[in-house]
Amino acid sequence: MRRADDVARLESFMPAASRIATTYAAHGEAADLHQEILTQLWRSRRHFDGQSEYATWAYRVALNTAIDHVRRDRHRKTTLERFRLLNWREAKSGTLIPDSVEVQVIKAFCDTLDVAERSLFTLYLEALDYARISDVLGISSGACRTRLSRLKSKFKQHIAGEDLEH
Amino acid sequence: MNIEANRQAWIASGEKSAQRTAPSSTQLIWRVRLRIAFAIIIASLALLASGFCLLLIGSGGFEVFEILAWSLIVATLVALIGLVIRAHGIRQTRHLRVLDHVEAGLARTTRLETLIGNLHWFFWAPMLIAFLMLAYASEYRHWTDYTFAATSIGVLIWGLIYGRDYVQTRMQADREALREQASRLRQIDIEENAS
Repeated sequence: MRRADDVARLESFMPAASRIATTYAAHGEAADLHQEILTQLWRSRRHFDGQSEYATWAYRVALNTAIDHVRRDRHRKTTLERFRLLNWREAKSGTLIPDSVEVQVIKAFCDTLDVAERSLFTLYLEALDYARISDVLGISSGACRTRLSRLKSKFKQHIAGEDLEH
Repeated sequence: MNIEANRQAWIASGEKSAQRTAPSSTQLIWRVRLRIAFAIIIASLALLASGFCLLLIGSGGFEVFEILAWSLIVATLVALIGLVIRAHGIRQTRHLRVLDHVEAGLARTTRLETLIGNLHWFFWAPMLIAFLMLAYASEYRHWTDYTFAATSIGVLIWGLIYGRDYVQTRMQADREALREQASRLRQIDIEENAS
């Protein structure tokens, strides 16, 4: 019964894990990071004590896995090499599907942010309230509110810039 | 285009890509099991190999000095693995808050760096003593033994210098990245308090 619950909870988090992977990994690598996040969620499930909501706990695991991935990734091949290799692999397997314009705009904006701001903005996109964002990141909710307000203004400017270009 | 439209498209994109890239829960569970099984197999093989080597040494009619030297080498290697595990920490931190996880990573990297920086005390010194003991014990052996010993020592020293340098460079880069991540997260709080 417990195991069935764990599986159901994990499955419910799969789309959010996919979105986080897309934000932190290069386009061709998102599938690998998505699977790694799910693997870590399954491995860490015994650490879930029920004190917070499952989604809040899962966002922590997902963001920590993604941030670790970004750091480790710098040691590996150059971005260009990796991008070419993975795009070729995914194009061959037929999983490389182009993003919509809106998603491309979000990704381009996220690429301009550092890890802390990117985490904050990702959680905002996931529609988490300030208290939950604060619980996931470990910073005060007031600080989340102030920084997010600045990030939203920055994002508006980014969208305006994109609209002008098109 | 506005923020909310982008956000909705973003949420919808997750549903689609999850269907494409997410493994089934059965596949995922088996993947985790295989990882654990692989780690157990590697550890068991290492234990078996070291036990087998000790048995060979014990039953091979070696001199006391040689037995002592090989015991010292095995003990040093075991101690080194123990120290690395202790510095690394077995407890997972992925489920902690992001700032706590980054700070735990920073502390871990600093501990490992210190360990590698002090490698000469608990690795080089006992290894050198062990090799000197081996050289002393192989007094009446053929010249090929000396060649073999010299080559082994050379390879070991080269590996240690190169390997240590490589690991230290990576550790340093990791520490810098973790420090930057932690300071960026803390900075958000500090700015809020200042304002």
